[in-house]
Amino acid sequence: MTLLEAVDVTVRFGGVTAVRGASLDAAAGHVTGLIGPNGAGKTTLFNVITGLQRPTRGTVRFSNEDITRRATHERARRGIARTFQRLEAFGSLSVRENVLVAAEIHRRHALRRSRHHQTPALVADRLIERVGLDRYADRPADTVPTGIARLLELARALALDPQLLLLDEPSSGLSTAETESFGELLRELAGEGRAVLIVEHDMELIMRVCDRVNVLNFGTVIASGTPTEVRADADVRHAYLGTAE
Amino acid sequence: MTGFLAFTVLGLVTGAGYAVAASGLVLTYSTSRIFNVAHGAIGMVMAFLCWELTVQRGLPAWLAVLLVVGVAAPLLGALAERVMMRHLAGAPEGTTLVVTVGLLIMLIGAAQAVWPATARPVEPFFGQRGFRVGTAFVTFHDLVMVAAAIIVAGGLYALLTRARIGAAMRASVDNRDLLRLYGARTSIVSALSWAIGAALAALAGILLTPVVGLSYFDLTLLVISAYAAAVVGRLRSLPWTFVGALLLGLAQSYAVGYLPPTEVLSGLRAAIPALFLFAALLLSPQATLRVGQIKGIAGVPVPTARRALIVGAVVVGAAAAASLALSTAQNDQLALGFVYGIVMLSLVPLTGYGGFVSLTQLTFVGIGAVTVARLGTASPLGLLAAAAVAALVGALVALPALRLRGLYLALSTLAFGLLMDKLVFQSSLAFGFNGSLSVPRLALPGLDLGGERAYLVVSAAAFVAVGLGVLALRRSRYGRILLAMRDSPAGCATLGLNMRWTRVRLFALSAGIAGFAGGLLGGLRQTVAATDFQLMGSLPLLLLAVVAGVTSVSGAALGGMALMLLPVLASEFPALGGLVYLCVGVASVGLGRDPNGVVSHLFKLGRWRSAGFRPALDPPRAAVRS
Repeated sequence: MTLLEAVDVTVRFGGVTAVRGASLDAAAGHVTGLIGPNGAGKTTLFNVITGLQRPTRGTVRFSNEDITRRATHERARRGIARTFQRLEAFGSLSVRENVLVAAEIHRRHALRRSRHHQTPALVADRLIERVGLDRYADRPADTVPTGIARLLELARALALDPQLLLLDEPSSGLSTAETESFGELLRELAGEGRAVLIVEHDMELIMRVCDRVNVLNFGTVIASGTPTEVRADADVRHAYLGTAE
Repeated sequence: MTGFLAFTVLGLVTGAGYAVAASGLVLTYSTSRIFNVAHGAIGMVMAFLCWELTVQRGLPAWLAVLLVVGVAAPLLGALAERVMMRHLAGAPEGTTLVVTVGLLIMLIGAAQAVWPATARPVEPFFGQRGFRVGTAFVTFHDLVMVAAAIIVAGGLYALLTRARIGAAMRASVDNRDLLRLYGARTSIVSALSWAIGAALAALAGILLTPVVGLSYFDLTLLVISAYAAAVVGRLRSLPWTFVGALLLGLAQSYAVGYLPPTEVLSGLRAAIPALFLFAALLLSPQATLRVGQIKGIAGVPVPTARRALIVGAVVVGAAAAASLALSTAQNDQLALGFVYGIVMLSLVPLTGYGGFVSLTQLTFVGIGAVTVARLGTASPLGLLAAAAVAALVGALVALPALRLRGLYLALSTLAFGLLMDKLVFQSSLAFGFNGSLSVPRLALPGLDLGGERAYLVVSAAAFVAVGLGVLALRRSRYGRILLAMRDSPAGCATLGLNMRWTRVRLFALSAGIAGFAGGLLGGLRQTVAATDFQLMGSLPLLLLAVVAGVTSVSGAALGGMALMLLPVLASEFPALGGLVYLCVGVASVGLGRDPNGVVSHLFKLGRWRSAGFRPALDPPRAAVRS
């Protein structure tokens, strides 16, 4: 079932067009990949979906509702959560408090929709264990390594029990072994019926976990399909993987 | 119609003066990202210096202006940049604001020490000579002012667009480090922009002195007009800044000409720059959330509830013991220290946790005092009413400014404070023109609080109670949300937090605490007047709060006592008066490095001792960046 639809989204910054009529959707229970060279507009598209950037043109629909004009916090309350490529962790708070504050904000606004009727403290502890942050739980968030801060942002996003999870380059800064278990976690999250939309440079991870992959180049979606289809696409090879062959 | 042309000329001329001041402000802000609250104070000191050179030392006016604008002011600007501002690169907006407040207070202190208060009439250049344009009379001084504005506009345009160093100035805003990699000497670029900014402040100060008068505060507050114009240019665009300055000059001039001279309206005229600033802020487009940073401020340790209770009980006990040993006057002074401490506490959630700066906290204290005086009740309910009214006004101030970024929010508090000074506190609603109000002292059933000893204990107990409340807040869900909001607004929004209401509640809470303190202060003094709550008094208060430590309750206690002691020291040892201001200003320089204030060093001392002098227990808190 299609949960998120971004239709014909265009974003202009002054004279620069960052996203040019891009359309994209994400289905519940699926991991959808969004790949493309640097500057292709991936993060801008994420900002449009979460309401941090107003599109010049186009619409964003979520659960069959037009949310293009909704504020960021209203979208979050409807079940959209994200992580950031350039980190936005709360540096003054400990890792545990980061997740706790998210659980507390969520509990106030979304009691009806929430599946876990646990105290925020319990939610935070479980999530910290789930993404493997136990060792860092009491460290201030601005003292942990980048990879750990990314996992922290994932735990924080999961505290909203989101229907749609947007992950912006979550694996950079993780070791090979950590990336492996991170991929399993992504499949698990999709298995819970969530839609996962992931921007990632690690091709191996993308090919392994994604049900569908969209390729963005110069702000336009140039290909979409299963990982195998996309890998075989000539345009994609040309634009993204280079013309070596 | 005869008047119209004359008022238009007057408005344009004043506007030209504002434009010179505002363009300096925009230049320093856009090249260093530091909003210089002391801009007007620089102009003030330089206007005094110019007076000294011409009237006292007998230099010809042109030479004096050349020396001041061309040499003294740029040196002062470059010095301020070198000593204070350079260390602030990347510091939070609140910290940079407070450091420039420190500079402002230092400059006022210095001016008062060097040029003691006395009447100093200032002649315009060329006396009253001038010529007629139709029905309007234009003095040569007016002409100089307009010419100065035109030259400044042309000069800045040429500098920023034609000269190599101008391009470097613009680039330094975007990325200092990158600019350095390309071989530009960023320190020179930044020092130059401060030097030019200070020169423009000096020029504006000197030109406007015949209009405003050679006064410490009026010239310093001239900066509000400059802010208003600069906000029209959104602190970036010089042409729009000039437009804003001219509009403001005209609005003021027409108000003088055409508003009937009643008491209320005369206050309104004085408040026009503040109203203009408010309007410009409201019309400025909504700030977008910036992403791409991970910031954290290592707070001081938060004590457990048990420990805080014990310390609180000790403080009240100590105050009770001290009350027996002290004289009446000393009792009152100590009580004043605790009341000021509560005002400082009102800044802890707002500035310490939330990162917002209020430049006008004394105004809320005044609202609390007026409320209790007007109710005329000695019951504790009067204090609650004082808190409630102040909280309501605080929420109202925050409401229109909801959409704004931190800096603009701080500026709107400044405009609000000035409006209250000029319009409300002077009106019959509050103190009346040059009036005062008597405030009944708090009475509790079965307890006699009339004496100074009892009131000291009550003040100490009130401080402890509010302090415990603030600590409980810090440990609560709301406290975590405040820190989270300060660290990453974008992160909070994506978690579903509606920051507007969180901010309004925060402003209301802070104003409420200040209003409560106002009720206590009124009861302590028993007579209060508008001068007790002026905007200019709020600035040292903010500075001391932040220097002492605005992130902790202990810091608030220290700040309150310091604020109480400052005037005492200044009157006991007049020679030290200026020195005290200087020390506070110097201390503010340290804020760029440690935003937790002086008190955090005391905490560290304690920790070192208990750890057997092993400093650097914490790992370095380098910012994590992707």
